[in-house]
Amino acid sequence: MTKTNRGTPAGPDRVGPPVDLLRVGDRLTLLASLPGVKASDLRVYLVGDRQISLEGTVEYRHPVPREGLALSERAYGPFSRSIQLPLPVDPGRVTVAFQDGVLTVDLPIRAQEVHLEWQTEGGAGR
Amino acid sequence: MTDPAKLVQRLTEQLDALRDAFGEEFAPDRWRAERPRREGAAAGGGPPLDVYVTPDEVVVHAVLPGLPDLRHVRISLTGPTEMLLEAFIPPRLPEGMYLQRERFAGYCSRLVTLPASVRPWAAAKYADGILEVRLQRANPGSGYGGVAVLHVK
Repeated sequence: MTKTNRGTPAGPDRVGPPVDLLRVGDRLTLLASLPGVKASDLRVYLVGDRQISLEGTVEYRHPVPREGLALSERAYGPFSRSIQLPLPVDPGRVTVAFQDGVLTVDLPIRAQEVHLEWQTEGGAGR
Repeated sequence: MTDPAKLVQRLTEQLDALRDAFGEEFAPDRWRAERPRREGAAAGGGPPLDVYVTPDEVVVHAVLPGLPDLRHVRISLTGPTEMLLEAFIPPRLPEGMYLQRERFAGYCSRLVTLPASVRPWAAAKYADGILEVRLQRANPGSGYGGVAVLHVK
């Protein structure tokens, strides 16, 4: 389930924190932008071997009340997002890092690569 | 005869592909309203901001997750009450093959009218993906109670 944050500047079509999903070598890497989130306010779940769920809260920490802001575009409050993974991953080897408002989840792919022997028309392998 | 609905869908997919290849400006979000918008693009473009004033300072918080260091940020004044914020956020994993891409990377800027005139001096710090810039007010005065409405360009 995903939630839209109140006051999200990106507009009403926002469905949670933005993520990148990449394949780097034999791993998937998930990057999530979570600015203003403290590590203690973030929870990351691996559901089975094909889904990652993020939950957390962006706390309002300014010394002035929100109505006192001259400009208020940042989003505050709870958020969540689930991301389906296109490949099965090894739950026992997943690692998580969180720095500069960016969550990095390293997900080793659970698959054994098959050695391919390419056949040419003449029948010789390469 | 070509189905108009399929034609529109195909055109939309092609625009999406072009936007993914060349950036947000090529095809704005109205072409892909059902997808998440990219971060770092506030209503007028650039990073979302919170701004407030204290008796001595104007404080600006900018959402810039993934900033490697403060050398990738430039703050300028284009007038006593107008600030230009520029930043460059490099891709985190440039060697990776993207299966899904929503996070902002690249150059962004924001021109904002401040609620009080400031001096060309600021203290800045960065934590948890948020840049905080504290500009000294030219004429120290009251706090947030006297804030004027901002015009954001």
